[in-house]
Amino acid sequence: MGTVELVRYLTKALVDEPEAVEVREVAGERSSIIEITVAPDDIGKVIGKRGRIVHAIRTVAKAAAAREDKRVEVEIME
Amino acid sequence: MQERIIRHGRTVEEALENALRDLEASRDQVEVDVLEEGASGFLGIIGQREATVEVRMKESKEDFVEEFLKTVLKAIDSEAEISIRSDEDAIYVDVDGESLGLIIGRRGDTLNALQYLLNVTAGKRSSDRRSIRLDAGDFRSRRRRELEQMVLRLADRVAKTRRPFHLDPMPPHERKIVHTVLQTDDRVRTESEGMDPKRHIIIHPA
Repeated sequence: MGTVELVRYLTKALVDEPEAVEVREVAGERSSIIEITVAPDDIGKVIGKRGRIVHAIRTVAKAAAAREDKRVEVEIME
Repeated sequence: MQERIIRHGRTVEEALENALRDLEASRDQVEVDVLEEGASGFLGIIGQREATVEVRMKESKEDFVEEFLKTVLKAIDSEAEISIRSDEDAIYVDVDGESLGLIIGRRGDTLNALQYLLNVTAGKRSSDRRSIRLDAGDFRSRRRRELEQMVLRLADRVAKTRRPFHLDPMPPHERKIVHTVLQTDDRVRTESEGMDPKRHIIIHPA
């Protein structure tokens, strides 16, 4: 499982409407951006109080990307 | 594999009892669908119907923890293995693998993030309120010793210089260790400031 699939799995586990989850990667040469889209009512569930949840998703995604010798940013699309 | 069985009885109550006995489960471990209410019938003869229930085991919190971590850890370290034990207060998970450094992260960042996500996602699925504690090898106990030694040194320094010292942000369980270590030190007092995940401790001269 790659970093994008990992972020998709984590996001689906956090929301009430997993079927509305879309995760895509905008790839750069050594660094890429992973964009998360969720149902409007689920945005708070992936951000968390004071961003605590999205912070945790970023930390785990960076560890997975490090294994592939890559850098990632994780963004929630609103 | 979710086991589901169908059982009958004179009443729903009795049908459920039969199912629980055969599953060797208690009421709070199962989900129940009543397929047929049952009726005692006229004079107990005409129109008498048996009650029928379908009963299946709920996924336990331990099962979810195992499935979640196996999936997530595969992305970080394909050799990672987990062992789970639990008591009535908590579920304890130990991770072992080839790249434990990646799984733990800088000062436990990654391990703490995983533990947090695990508690949020498992809490959403289960009424089981036990917390999940994640460890990798002896990381937690080593980190505790490191923190204890570090704050004792810092307390000396604060006592000597009479100037407050701001520590780096730490998660709640680590702040608790720091407060506890310095509670008995009369020369200093501790205070937390800011909001998670930036909340940090300040050591003040007493």
